[in-house]
Amino acid sequence: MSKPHSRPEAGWSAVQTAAVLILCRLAAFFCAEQPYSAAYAKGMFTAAVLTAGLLLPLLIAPQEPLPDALRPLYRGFALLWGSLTLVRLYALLTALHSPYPLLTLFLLIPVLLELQRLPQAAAARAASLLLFVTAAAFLLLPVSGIRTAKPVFLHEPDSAGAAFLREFQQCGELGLLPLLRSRENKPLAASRGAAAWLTVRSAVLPLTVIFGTMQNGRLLHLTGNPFFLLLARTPLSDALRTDGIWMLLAVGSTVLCLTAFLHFAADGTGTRLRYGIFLPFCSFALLFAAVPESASGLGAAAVLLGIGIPWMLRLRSLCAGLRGRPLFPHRRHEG
Amino acid sequence: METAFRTLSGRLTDDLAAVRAASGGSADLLSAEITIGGVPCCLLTCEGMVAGGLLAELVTEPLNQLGFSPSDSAALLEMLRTRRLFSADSTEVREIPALLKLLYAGFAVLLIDGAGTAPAFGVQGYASRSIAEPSGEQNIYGAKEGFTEPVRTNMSLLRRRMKSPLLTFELLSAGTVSQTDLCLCWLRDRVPAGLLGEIRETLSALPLETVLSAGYIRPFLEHSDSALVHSVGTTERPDVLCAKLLEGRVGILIDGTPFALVIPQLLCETFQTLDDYNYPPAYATLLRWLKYAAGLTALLLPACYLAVSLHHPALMHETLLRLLTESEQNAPFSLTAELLGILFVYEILREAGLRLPKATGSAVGIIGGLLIGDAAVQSGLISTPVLTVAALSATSGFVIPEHHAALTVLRPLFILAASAAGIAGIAVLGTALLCHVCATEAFGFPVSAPAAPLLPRRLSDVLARIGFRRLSQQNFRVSETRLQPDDTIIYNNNTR
Repeated sequence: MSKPHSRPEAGWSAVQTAAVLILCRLAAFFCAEQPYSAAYAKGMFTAAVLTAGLLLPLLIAPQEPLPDALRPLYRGFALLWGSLTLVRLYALLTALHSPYPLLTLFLLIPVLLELQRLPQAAAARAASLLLFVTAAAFLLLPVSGIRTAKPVFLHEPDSAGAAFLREFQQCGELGLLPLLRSRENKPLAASRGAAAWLTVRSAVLPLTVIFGTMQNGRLLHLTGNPFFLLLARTPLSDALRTDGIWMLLAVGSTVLCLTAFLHFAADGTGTRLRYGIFLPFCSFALLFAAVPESASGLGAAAVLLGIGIPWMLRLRSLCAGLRGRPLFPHRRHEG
Repeated sequence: METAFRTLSGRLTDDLAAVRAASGGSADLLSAEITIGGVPCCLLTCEGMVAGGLLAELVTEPLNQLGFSPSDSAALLEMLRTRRLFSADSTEVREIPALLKLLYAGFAVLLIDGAGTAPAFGVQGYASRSIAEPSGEQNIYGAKEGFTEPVRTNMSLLRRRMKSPLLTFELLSAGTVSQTDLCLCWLRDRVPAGLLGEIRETLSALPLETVLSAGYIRPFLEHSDSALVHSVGTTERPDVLCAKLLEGRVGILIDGTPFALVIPQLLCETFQTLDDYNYPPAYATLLRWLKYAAGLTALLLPACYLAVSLHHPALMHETLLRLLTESEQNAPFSLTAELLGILFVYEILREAGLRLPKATGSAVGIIGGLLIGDAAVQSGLISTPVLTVAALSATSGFVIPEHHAALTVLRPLFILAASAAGIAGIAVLGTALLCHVCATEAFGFPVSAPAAPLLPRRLSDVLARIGFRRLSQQNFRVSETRLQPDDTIIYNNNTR
């Protein structure tokens, strides 16, 4: 029996939009295995600034309506990126010596199925709550380890160019931005959320990498998750062992990120397809795990979908506007 | 069921027979045949539902003292209508089902020969529990009065605290068989638009035969049947309900139960008590954070202990690890079995203590806590750290009694997740729980507000307990937390 007071789903606020975008980026950040270095931060910063430069004119202007024909493309991308995130989560669990990572993933699938049943706004609200906890934890990081940070490690050799390209390999949420903006009934909220996400990408993450480099530069050539190596090197964490809390946050962010991508993959579809996408989702995850190179094109796809197509739509709209306008409007009166 | 739709014929013997037939010859239907000014009448009452004193004072004596003889039934009826005030709560009925409903609600009904209408006088009075201190919401500085079973007594408890004409009561009935009285109460100037209509619509469509407690109605008012957190609250305290009504909520009093329903409820409110507003703000803020910490401890401590001990021992300090290893090495069961077992025993003892008489109940506590616990540790069946963790978790749960049911269900699930997948398992389940809580809403009010959706100005009474001067300026209204389809947040005009 349907409830007499059931109502249409509410849109997302700016905070919720920002939270989903930022948590997706953080999930990739936590799962990344590349050791921290100053060049890494430099490449990351440059990529983030370039993205911001390309996106800001689009965010300021009114959103161009996304053609329906393109929506399956975006949904397919969300599914693929979700599969890639699942593979990355497996890698994170393995790196953290989590027991039975495969069993964890098996536990995760029914949880994701259940979360798929919930309204999208629930995941967005949960993301905003988790983001506040994560932000508080991030604030504690420099406080706990500022004394032991050593700038000398910033001179460790690395390639900024590689880091620049790597940054685009990790920002799958970029590909979802047009879909998110077009489905928002409050476009200003979406733009504000995206602006907050750009700020975090271009400021907070590079600073964390720099801080991590100063903390554990010596561990540059050691294997392991660099973020958790950073935690292991901060004295307060060493005494209180806050790694466990960060593990909770990292896995939690990744699960929420997966939920968001799956929601976008099934956006606007019926119940059957909402659950039906789990078969290709798991299949692609197996493919990406078996052949990691097969996922290498996803970064470029994110850039194309997130920046390329919106710019094309914008330019097309501008051209159409110019075509419709007479070149010499005053002559119309003369004629 | 022909009689169910019959109206009064005006022939006294026929009407009396029809009423008796409609009641099925029920033994508690009392009739007294009298003659008033030459007109044959019959006074009907329901045994045990009327106050004898009131009946004599407001109905019998005035009828006996009538100073003139009416010529016929119509004149008698007109005289009863206009000349005498028998009871402030009086009405007239024509249909037999309505007549029976009034009778069983404690009215005295006068059948008059020759009149197709019967006057009914409200002389209710039945045995009920007196007003006592609430058993589950005790406060130090608050009033010692709690709701009791009769709905009208509960209405008077509210009215005594709020004499404003804006406080409105509306009586409804629910339950096709029990026809239980429900009373909606709200403040007209601050209830969110449309909320009352939606509640009325829900209550009128209740597919219930009877309403014996608040728990019968609550699931129909909530968004989901499987929600672990309630979006409709309950309270035993009239002062708490008054505070909720002031914030624009709607209360439902149910006849026969000392609990009122409050719509909507926010999650943060389950960590607040009336006493918080009697303490100095700093102390109340500390208490608030203590409750949040207790909630997390009650839910996650056993699972975290298990995850760290079993799968992530590196997270523990060396001395602590050594201590735990020494304690656990002689325990015959696995850590998971130990934790689940001790929590299972705790739930058994709690249930046993709850259902027994008070004197025996405390004995169960002593036997359970001291004898079984001590004996189990002494015999080596369970280790001391496991017992400590379980006891800490259980005790923390007492701080937030509202969430006891959810904690009892979730604790073993978290333990199993931690046992299978360590901290990652806790994170996966925790994220699912967080999403579930964020998805819970009633009538468009999400329980996770004002944290999500974020209302920054309203967090001051969630993260802390601000002073009354600032609190009174803020004028919180629950309508601010309501989600609109376009996600606009409605603010009060006076706070914007």
